[in-house]
Amino acid sequence: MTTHTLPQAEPYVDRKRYAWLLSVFVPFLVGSGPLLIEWTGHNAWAWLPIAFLYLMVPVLDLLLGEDRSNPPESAVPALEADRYYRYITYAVVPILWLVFAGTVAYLCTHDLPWHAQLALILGAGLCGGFGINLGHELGHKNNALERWLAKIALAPTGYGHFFIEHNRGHHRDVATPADPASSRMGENIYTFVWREMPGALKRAWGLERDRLQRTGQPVWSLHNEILQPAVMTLVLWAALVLAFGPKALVFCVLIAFWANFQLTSANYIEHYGLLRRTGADGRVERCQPHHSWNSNHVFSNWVVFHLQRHSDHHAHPTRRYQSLRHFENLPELPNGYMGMFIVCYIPPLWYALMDRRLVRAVGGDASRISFQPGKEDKLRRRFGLQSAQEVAA
Amino acid sequence: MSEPMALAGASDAATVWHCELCGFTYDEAQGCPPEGFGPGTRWADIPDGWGCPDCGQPKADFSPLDLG
Repeated sequence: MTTHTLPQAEPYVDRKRYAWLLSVFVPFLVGSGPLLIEWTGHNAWAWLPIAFLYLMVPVLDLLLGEDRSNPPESAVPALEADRYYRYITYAVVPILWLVFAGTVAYLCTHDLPWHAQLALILGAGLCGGFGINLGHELGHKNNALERWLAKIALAPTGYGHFFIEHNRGHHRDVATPADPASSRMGENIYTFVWREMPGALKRAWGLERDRLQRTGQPVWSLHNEILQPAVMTLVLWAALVLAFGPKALVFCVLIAFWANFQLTSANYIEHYGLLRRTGADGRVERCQPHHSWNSNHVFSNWVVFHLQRHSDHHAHPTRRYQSLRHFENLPELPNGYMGMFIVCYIPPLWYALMDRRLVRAVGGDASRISFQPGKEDKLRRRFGLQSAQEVAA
Repeated sequence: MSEPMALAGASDAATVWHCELCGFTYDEAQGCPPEGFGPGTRWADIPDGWGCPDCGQPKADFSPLDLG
């Protein structure tokens, strides 16, 4: 095992070093439906990866619990410089393309019952969701290689605009009513998605158009960092249609939708109801760790490159996944992302589990809650909420 | 967060600014061509609506890194 040392410091051993390989293996596993059908000869096996992700991972999170340990700050520079952690992220990229293209090809060339087709679409979509997670990790880095790999990772599911929208839009506006990628108290995911998906594209396009106008380059050109991955998407999807006929396009769209809905799900749970306050000078307070819901559940964090340590990520956006930290007294999710995704797909269950938790996380201060318009009065009455100013008055 | 008033004197002389959230650095001597700011572009000439290319923080959340 590799140790990271600084002069006169105790050597730090990263106990999670090889656990991160799960972030490579699990995207492959969830996309392995066609292989499972071929190996076993039974269509039902295509559901195994789906069951693993939505049932086994939440159970493993409950059983294995949380990891609240942090690397010492003295070890972080060496940890960030250790290229092993980067190579793991690079290894996921070909898996994403292989699963996407391979699943579409398999669906087009095999006469499968609807339930097997559904399982393969969901599996490839979940794999694409891990692709967005990877695009997120890589897209935050400020070197050309990792930024290009982010675009390549996002291209199969047609979501190349994400890394611009996320870095420059979501991180700027997070936990404010202006952010289409931050959900509000009382807003369910099926309402949220109509705000989140189009809002992300619109904001990304505006940000990139403004940048290109400043540089004097045409918006409709390959200088446009939204169009660069879009061209990759077009080429991949066109090749699949040429090879397998028009039905390939239907499968591409369905897989891409489910992949992109994984991002919607993550956005929904990551900042639910949390609000950055606006000061007397009209400026919104800086994003702090308590403006994100955090999850230290160890297994699902191994699977998603520590994305669930979201509080530190928003407070320190360029910190690499292996260095993200736990902080005390943060809003904490009761399970990892996979478990919470299932919960948020059932809105009454989500509200029952999260609304009271949200009220506790903000100390009962209504001025720290972002309410869904039209539901604020009802929620204030139900939870007896007042803002700190109202209490003082 | 640094108080804007306290930085007023330093701001006039500074030529290097950094994002207080992510550490992105803007050096007037080099500018930032991918963002449309050529070498020599003064910090004062960068639009107020511009945000950090790495994390989106507004220009107002940058602070001077040197005193010129």
